[in-house]
Amino acid sequence: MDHEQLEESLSLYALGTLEPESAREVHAHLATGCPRCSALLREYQGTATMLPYALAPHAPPANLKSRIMAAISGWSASATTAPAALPTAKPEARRYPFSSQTSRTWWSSPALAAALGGLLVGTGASLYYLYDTIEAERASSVGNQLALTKANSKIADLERQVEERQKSLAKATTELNRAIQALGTTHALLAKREEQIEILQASRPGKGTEDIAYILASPTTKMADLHGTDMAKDAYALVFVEPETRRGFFYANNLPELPAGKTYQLWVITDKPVSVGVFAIDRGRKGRMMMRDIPAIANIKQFAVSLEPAGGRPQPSGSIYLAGSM
Amino acid sequence: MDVPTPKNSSIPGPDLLARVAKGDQEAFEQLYEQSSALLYALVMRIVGNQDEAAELLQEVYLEAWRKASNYDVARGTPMAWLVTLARSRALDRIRALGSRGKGVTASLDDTPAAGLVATNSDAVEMRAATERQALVGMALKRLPPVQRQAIELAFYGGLTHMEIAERLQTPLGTIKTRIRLGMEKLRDSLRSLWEEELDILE
Repeated sequence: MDHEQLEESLSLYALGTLEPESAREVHAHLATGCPRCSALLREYQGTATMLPYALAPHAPPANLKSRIMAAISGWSASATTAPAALPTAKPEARRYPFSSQTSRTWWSSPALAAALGGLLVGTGASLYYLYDTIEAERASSVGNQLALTKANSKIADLERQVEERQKSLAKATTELNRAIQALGTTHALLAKREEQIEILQASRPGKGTEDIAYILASPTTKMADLHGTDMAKDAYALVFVEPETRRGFFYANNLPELPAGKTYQLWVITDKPVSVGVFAIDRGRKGRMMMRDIPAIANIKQFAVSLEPAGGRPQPSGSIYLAGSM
Repeated sequence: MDVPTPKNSSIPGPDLLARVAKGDQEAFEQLYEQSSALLYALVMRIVGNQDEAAELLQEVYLEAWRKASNYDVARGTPMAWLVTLARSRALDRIRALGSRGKGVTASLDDTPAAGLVATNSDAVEMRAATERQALVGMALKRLPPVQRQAIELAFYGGLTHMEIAERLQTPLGTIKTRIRLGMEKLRDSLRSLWEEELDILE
């Protein structure tokens, strides 16, 4: 390789990706102390050793550190201490490794290190003791690690359960709120109707009261709800039909006042509209009517109220003010 | 020796390794704290197995403890020394197992770098990872995928450029060029980082 080729090989050399023969050649050149190549190599080596920083940092298993520290603690003690430390230090050394509270840091005690060193130089039995303590530490770390893993997965399980329960609780709450709302609506409607019935009964003390009572009391009586059209948005009406006798009762509220020469007419719509009768409204804008000879209930599709010339018409000709079905 | 305090105190300096070389266990513990997450990620990436990686990492640290006095400031920062040591032990391991380069996919679509960079940028947001991680992740992300792939096959797969050429069925010259261009770009975009590293040493 000429110098240019050598220079070009430096980045590959720094990555350790050159073939052995080329690597030897580059190495030999660097050994000559070429300042340019040495400087370049340092840059590429610096760059290469940065690469692992792109990896997501990954904490090693928790017990690894204590295993490593235990191991080096044994070595350094054996290398640096004198046997003289043995007599006084020994009991302390025996106590430490088995104390669960201090087991994580027992290796960092210089006195203990000295003691262990003493033991190591002292007798063969003590050497086994040292291995025992390291093994015990290792085993207990592994045990703790296992327990921790178990505890963690248990916590994860519990968290999942709590989350699920919170979800179903939230769902139940939503449903409950919806039900309460629906109930409220029904309740309000019921109250309104009870009130209407009371008004009806109170306002017709004479003739018809028995009829109305009969119609309302009959278990076969059907009811229809009529709503105001755009002509009378606030208006509403109720129709009670007793199918056996084909009688019924009509009650309307909030209808606009009648223009002169006009009347409201109630229709039962089967395959065509059939007039039930005409009615006026009182000052409270209420209208009432007893109904007779109503068509068979199975054929009734709808009820409607239209505004018609006084006296009514055989077929509806004016605007529809109320409409509804059973 | 007067050593300037590194900007990022979580990066071990030569003074720390000097203390380790004298048998200072506290210094060694600190060294472990500052480097183990990176080294574990590195050996995990190379050997691809947690138990194996943990065992290997233990060997690496014990070797670092024994050989701390061999560390030469002239040859790089303590982190570079540890990365080199961990990488070469991990590559030894996969060579022994005959699984060299298997953890590094040859497909560009799902080249680990893409995932890793993404993971890393998540980490940047979620865990406020260091500026260093963000910079390296970005620098790798900006490389053309074929250059990044070749560099990763070399660095994490331990493959020679001839083996990479074979693996990717690409001419040898092309592979050399990809690695060279990619490394030049990385060197330039990571200049601030390795210059800081070199400053630590002076």
